[in-house]
Amino acid sequence: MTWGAQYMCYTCKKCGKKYKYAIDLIGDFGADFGKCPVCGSDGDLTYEGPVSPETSQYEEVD
Amino acid sequence: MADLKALKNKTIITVAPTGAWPKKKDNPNVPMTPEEIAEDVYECWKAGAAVAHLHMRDDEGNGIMDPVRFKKTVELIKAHEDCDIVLNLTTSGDIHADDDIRVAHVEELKPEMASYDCGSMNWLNSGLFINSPAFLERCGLSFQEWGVKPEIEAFDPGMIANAAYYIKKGVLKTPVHFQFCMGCANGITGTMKNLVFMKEEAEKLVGAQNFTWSCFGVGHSAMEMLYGAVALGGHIRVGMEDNVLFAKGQLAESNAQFVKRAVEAVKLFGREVATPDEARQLLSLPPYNTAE
Repeated sequence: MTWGAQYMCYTCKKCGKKYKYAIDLIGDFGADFGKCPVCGSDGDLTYEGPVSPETSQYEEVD
Repeated sequence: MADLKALKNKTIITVAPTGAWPKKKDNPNVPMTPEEIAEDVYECWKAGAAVAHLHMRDDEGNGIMDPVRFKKTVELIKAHEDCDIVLNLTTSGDIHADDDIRVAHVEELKPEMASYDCGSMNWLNSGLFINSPAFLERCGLSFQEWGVKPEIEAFDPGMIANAAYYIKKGVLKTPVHFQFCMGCANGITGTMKNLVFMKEEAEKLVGAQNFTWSCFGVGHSAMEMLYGAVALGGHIRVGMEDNVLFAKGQLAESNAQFVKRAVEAVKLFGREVATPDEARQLLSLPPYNTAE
């Protein structure tokens, strides 16, 4: 039994952008994991989950 | 005795069409009912899959260990008289199921294979995926009695070490078959370095001659693990249990779509896709009994 890719979904505190990171890429992004891809600010973690209509609302950073 | 040298260039493709988590809202093409799963498996067999790993769902789409649905699905697949795909039934389709119900369908149906998750871990950062020592001993010994080959799912290297322990204890018999589950949350990440490490750990702990192995990666590691397995001489698993996206931003149209891509990858590499009968020889399974 497995579970597909898991995402941490964020809303940027500064510019409001909604974006997500796959948790299997924590090692690749390191300290940048969770940063807004537009302005580089930290985001608020607003959702966690697999590929779904909910996480599809967030732009993937990869 | 199978001529394994003649089969050394063969790659087994396993399809895991449903799994326990994705629902129609996540991908409308995930097969959920016994009828949908059976037809999906048949299409995957025609596309080149030699093994099908099956989960069941209830009417709301939740994972369920329902012997009636397992039986119906198996019967529907076998109703296709030309389909000789190896059936591998999950023992882990519902984290709330007790140990008795997790093996009830295996005892009744005696499939050629059943999953054997060789340790406990967290489930989706929200629950527990329990595979207690008592459950693993029970499954290992019962599967031997029933003639069911365990597919040892290893989500991290510790589960390979645990399998080695159960081999020494007689709970598992060699040659064993590993499914390296790469990139799942709470498990080992899906990188080539880690895949090589898993393979080498198995060689060290179990002995290279004592196991076969397959792998898959979820999410970003899906293609890397597919090509990695082919390159390292392993076998591969694909399907919507592990990935509902065929590519970034593109929902899979079907499980057969995954199988067809795997077939192409195997052929492009210069290897050949194993038929179900060849898979049986590679996995040390008895010949297919059409009378069953």
